[in-house]
Amino acid sequence: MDNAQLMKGILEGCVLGIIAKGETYGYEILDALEKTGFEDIGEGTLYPIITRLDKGGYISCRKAKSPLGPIRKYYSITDEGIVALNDFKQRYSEITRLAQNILYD
Amino acid sequence: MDILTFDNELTGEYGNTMTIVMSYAQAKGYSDEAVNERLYDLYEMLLTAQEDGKPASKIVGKDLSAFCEQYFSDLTFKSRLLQIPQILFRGCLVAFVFELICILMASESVSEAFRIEVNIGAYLVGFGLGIGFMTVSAVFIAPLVTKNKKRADIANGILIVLWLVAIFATASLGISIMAKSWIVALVAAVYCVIYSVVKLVINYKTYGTVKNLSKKIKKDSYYRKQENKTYEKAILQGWQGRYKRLLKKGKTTEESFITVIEKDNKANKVFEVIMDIIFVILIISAGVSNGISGDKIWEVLLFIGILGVFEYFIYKLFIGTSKKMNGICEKLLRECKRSGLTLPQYIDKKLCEY
Repeated sequence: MDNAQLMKGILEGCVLGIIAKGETYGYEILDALEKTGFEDIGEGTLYPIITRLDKGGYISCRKAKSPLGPIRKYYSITDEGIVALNDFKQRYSEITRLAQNILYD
Repeated sequence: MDILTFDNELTGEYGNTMTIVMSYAQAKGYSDEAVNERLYDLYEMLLTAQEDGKPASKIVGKDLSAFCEQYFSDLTFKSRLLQIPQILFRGCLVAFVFELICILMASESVSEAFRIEVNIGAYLVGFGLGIGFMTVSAVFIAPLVTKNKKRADIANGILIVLWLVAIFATASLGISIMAKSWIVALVAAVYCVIYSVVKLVINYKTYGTVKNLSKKIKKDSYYRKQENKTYEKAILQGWQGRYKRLLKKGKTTEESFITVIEKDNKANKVFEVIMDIIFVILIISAGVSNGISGDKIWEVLLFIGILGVFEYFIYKLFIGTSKKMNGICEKLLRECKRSGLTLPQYIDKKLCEY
């Protein structure tokens, strides 16, 4: 079975969870995902997620010069984002519990 | 999209990745406004990966084709369709200026101005062919870019040649659709005004500014510096080559080479001033002598004004880069003198920095 479909639903919540830990930027988010075990997640996947979160008002964006010179976007979670993240955690927990009941019982 | 700016800092696989993604976006026909910001984001991430020693695949994954499709997936056919108003705007601007000049030049009275006709067949055919070219490029060339960039470049080159042949062939067919010049000028002007207003509103709603976003990003000192670096490198490499050739022929020495370059620079400056003077003289003489009723001074001045503005953009296109390069040459020569090195020594040292 394809991982991509499974990931589609949870990646947005996971990215929001990473941003909730503190102000961060694109490369750092990819790094955090990779360290957690999410391999092969690139900017192509991340960009639309960030765009959706930004448009939804769940994250805010600040532009500043990176240490290497170019402008970098730094993301922070908003109050609406915190609410959305808590809601996601609850729904994820519930869905995982239901799935476990079917798959492992 | 500014390949010159991105060409500098990214090397090896990072530079190749950036070039392919940008070429893909260009082949797809996405407008600068739609893609510039995300390309700058990608550039910044690739630069960080390069600095970190991580592979480019960390940012774009292992499949570059899939990355490109995904990265620009929200730019649907509908958004490409939105490029058509921009193309139409440029065409209308050209049509407006041309028709205004024709009306002023050809008519001796107000009533005659309303009778002059123009063949708009060429405008329509050119526009239609342009749309066809864009579609073929987006459908056939863009996918090729991520798989084999060389073949994509060749295909693109062939497409441009075919497009030019088609335009000339169509012109020779003598397609004739006549319309009143003043109507064409008026419709073109109205469209340009409406488009400009709509664009300002959209820019403001999307970016919170009415200014052109590409220009706003380009004004950033980091990107200006990168653009200058590309020119600097090209100039220094040119000087290096010239020094080797002159040294071989015994026509210069390490110490005297700077004098050769300074003489060139002075000659270039004189040439620039002469070109500026010639430009002004040509515009004024065209205005004065070009079939406008000589006793109406306001017509002459209006014609000079319109022609001057129009020709200035073309003039700037040709002479602008040359002026910029001359400015950079002067800056490099000043730096060389301050460093106390001979020019060849300074060139070698500077080229190591890139």
